[in-house]
Amino acid sequence: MEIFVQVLLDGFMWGAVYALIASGLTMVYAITRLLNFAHGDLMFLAMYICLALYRAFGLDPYLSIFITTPLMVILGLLVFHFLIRPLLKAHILMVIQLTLGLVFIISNSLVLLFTSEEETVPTFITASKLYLGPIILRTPLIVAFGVATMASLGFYWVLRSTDFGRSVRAISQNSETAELMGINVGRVQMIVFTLGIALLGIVGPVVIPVIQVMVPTMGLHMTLFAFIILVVGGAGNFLGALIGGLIIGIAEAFGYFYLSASLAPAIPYAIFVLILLFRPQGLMGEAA
Amino acid sequence: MIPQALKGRNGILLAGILLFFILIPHFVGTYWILILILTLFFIYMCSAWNLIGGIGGQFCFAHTLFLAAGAYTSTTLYRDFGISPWIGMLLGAGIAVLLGLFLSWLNFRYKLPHLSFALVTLGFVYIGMFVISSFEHLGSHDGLSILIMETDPLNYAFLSKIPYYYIILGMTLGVIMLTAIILRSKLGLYLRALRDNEKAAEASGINLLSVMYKGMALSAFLTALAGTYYAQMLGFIDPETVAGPHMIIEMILFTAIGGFGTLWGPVIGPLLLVPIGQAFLNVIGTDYAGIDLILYGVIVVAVILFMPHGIVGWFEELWEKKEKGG
Repeated sequence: MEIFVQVLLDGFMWGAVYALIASGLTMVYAITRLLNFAHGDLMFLAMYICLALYRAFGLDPYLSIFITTPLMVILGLLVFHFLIRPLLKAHILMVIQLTLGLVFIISNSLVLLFTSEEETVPTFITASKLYLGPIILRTPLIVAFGVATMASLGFYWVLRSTDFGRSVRAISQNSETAELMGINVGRVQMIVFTLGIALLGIVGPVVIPVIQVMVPTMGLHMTLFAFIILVVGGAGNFLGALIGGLIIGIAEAFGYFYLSASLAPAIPYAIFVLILLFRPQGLMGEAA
Repeated sequence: MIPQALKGRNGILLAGILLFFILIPHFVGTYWILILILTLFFIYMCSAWNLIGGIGGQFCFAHTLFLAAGAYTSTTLYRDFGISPWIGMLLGAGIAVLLGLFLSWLNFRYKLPHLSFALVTLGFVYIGMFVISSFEHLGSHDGLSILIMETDPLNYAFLSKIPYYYIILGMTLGVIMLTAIILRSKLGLYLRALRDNEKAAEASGINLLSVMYKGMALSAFLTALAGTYYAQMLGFIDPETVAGPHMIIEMILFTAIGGFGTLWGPVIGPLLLVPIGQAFLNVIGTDYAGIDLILYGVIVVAVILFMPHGIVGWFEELWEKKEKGG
């Protein structure tokens, strides 16, 4: 029983982290109907910036957040302005190709600069644990869980209660009508896209002590994970992303515990396929 | 049945190019033969992908699965039962076709939009990679070696690379001719209908599922043949390279640069990029592995922004302008 609770809690927290990674992607998808295949690679870019900062100045990744976030804001603006905006009206497959090109550029540049060896960046709490009776929780996971919860609540509040949030919802429901109602769709898209990337400037450093070892070529895998969560939860649904993340995280944790370590990574994909088979609109999505 | 495009001056040009490709291995060393093999291999793969991905507009990532089906079936059958890879190749292709049909059925049964189909197939790529990696019998992470001790044509084994060069040359010519025929056939028309306007195609009474089945089966079959070729030619396969997502992304990007859905797009893309990438590696040095992939990424971004229909599409537009202007 204790082991069961332990695995469940681990999975729950991992799930929140996955949801955090997916939330930026979900947000961008809801607003632009674009899928950014370089999402995971941009997260790894933020993580490797932390590695560089640690090597140069011994900076703790949690402090690096104050540097990576503004850098990702600038990067997000540049990518949107020069690469995404010209393709907003083009066929959706063009954006897939373009972002696949970005995947190659980012992941291989990271390999070139940092080699494809596994790297670690220590933080002041990487090894620390919290004991709740027989249950052991890793502190970095608790921090990541906290950040994920705060970010989700923050999004929820912005979407519900601000003018900006209302225009975001209007565009995600019907962008043409929203435009006719006087919403500056281009501007909202730019802000949302940039926010999605900026969030990675926070997520990346927070995830470092959680996953402990990082490899530059894991980016696409992360992107796909975020996609899976998006599909499982229902595209463009923030609460759905959270639930999708939790399901995937818990299923994976149980897979690692009860199946082999090499087969467990396939579980999220299996869930993904099952959801597509039996509920293609996602758990929280409305039937088409 | 020679297509119109191959008659007259075009025909002479193509015959010249063909003669060049037939004679060249006798004038260059092994290094260049390997680069030529790699180039032709990608032309073959891109053309096979283009049948369903370009002409049919179904953004499919699963082709690495088909490749792995070919490579792993022929390799394990030869190792365990001494079955010739030529036969194993066909069995592998059969498995790939079944996989392809299943994915097409999934796509249609649930009316997946383009994006979801891309994601589902990419998901299957990772599932396939994890499954192969977790079976000791398939060599798990470390992969399988194919030892070739002597030349044995009946078992797809050659000590020299030249026979492999001619095999891939033949395969490539075959797939290009097949594409030319398909583009002119009813199936080609239906595939383009599938890409351009599914609803209108359906309304005019085309059975889209059967069109998708045909296109996908053909594409999967051809890709699996390349899997066995890859295993025999290189003598080594591992899940990361054969079944991983890298190869399919390269295939998609090369085709995008050349031009989706055209006859020559998937030919031009690899023909330009593979040698450029290799030359780049040669100049910069192999210490910087991956720099060729960065270059591909930069080129594809530039091509998409400035020539949205690929190099072939760009030339066609230039040609049309010239015709109108003159």
